Amino acid sequence: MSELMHVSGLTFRHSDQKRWLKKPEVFALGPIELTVKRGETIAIIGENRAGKSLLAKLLVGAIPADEGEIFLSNVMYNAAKKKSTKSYNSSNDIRMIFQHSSEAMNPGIPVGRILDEPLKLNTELSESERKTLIEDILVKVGLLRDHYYFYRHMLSDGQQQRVAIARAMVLQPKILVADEPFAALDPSVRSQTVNLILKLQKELGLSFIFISHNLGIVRHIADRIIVMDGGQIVETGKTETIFRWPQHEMTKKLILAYQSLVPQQTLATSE
Amino acid sequence: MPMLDIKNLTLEIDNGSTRVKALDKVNLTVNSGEIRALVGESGSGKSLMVQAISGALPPQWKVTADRMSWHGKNMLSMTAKERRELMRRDIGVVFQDSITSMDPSMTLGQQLEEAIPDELVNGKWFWQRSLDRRKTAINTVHKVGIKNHKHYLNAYPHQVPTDIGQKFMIAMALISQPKLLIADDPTRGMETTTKTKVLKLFTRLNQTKSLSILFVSHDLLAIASMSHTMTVLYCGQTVESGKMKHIRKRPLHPYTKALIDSAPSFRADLPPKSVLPSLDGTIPSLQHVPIGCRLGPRCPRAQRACVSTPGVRRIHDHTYSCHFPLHMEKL
Repeated sequence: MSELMHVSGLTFRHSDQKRWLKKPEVFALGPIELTVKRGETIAIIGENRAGKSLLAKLLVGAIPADEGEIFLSNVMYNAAKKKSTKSYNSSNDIRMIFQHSSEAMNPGIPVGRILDEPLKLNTELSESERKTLIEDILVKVGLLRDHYYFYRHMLSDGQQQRVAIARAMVLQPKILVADEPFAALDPSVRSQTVNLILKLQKELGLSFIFISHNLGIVRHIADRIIVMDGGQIVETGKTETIFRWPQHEMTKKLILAYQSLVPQQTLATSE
Repeated sequence: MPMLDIKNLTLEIDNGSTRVKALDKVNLTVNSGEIRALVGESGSGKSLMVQAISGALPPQWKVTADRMSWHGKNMLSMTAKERRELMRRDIGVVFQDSITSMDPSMTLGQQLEEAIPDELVNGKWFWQRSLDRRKTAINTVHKVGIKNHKHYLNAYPHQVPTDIGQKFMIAMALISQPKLLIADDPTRGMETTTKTKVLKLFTRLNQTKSLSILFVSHDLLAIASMSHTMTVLYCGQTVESGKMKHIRKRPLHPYTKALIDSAPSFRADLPPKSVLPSLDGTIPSLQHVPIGCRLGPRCPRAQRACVSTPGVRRIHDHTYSCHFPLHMEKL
């Protein structure tokens, strides 16, 4: 497995001064050090307000960081905002699936155009080439070619999630970042989505970084886990290691809370 | 005798020309001192069930039931006043959308204090009584796991994060010391640590105060850890109902099995990254419900007989409605 992304010293500060004399509430993220290998699945877990969503947004560049560097396949991908550089470099190698995938889609345009927009903005392809590409990707995520003409409200939850994945995949990224991709989904649709992501990973060698509260799924699909607390990465490690021998207080808390829910006797009697 | 007993509840909604059965002959009983889980995916009618019990349905929707009784009293023939009295004192409801179901023009503290019934307040004079209300409110808020009570009691609903809103909703339901708590997806979107705390609180209340709980959710992990009995709902039909441990060990209905399989935590032997078993397709919308068994088009075991609605069958206290149940050869 080769190294695909290397993050070093990524920091972000947010201070929120509401009143003149009041002490400002400062939220600082990082410095974050992180490497992502090809085909690897990384899960980010932690409590609310630990900075998980923020980290995901910083990684894809949706929010510019204050300091730090991100190397994406050995090309520097400018995450930090610097006054000297006029625009920061964009990259097609990393894409994001947002938290509420259905609300992150424009209800006024059909699925085809939703998927067309990133292609129009980022590639030089002609219209017919774009259309074949979109149809291919629709089939790949388990939809039909006809869904090109569907609007958001005509699709079910699971299908909307598939469109969200298709939109992230259409530029053929190497890394997919997802913020709570499974939280809003029903159990049967959730299993379908998990299966889809596993399939796509196997076929295309994608790296997948996701945030989840559902530790059952984390345990099932993640290779490596990052535990965050108060804007810091407090522990990283292989999934089994984290689940069996948690070191940090926060990790212990999360894992114990999860394990207290898992019924012990099912482990023995499951068929 | 069961506390809440519902038999063949049907809810019909007029949508212009046709009449849709949003709930189709649903059976549900809650015994006293029991935690009953009501499981189903979104669109299965769980929340409609909660609203039907609490009487919060729009008047143009038609509710019919063979039996819907609270401690032997018929709930459908009650006057509005009696019904409200019942909801006020005996049943506490945690609604799904916590922030939007609260009054936006009052602080959380005011709303919580308003929810305390008069007979639970000590003190003779109004200042003593208002102090006592405040004290009860703070105690309850601490009980549901909110530490910074000063800040949150004076906040308005739009100012608090969703998980605090959810906890306030739980506090508001518990403060009148009800006999039955109906919790509609109370742990949705909570992180694991908070969820465990809330579930522990429920379990403790169930054990110490013998509070009955109707726990509506699709989080199987939470359900399995605390509930005694479980009713599975699919698309407005009761699919299976029985003791938690029997259902988990040997689900008879294909849908229940699919639901249990969808939680990887239940299966330690499942190799990591393997394909999870799942049913094809999604829940049909209310306009296009299939005839007969509503699982029909998605069911791997469906046969010709499935176009007629299966009746309720019973093995001891385990009821199910399926023509071709699983695991029958073992019985």
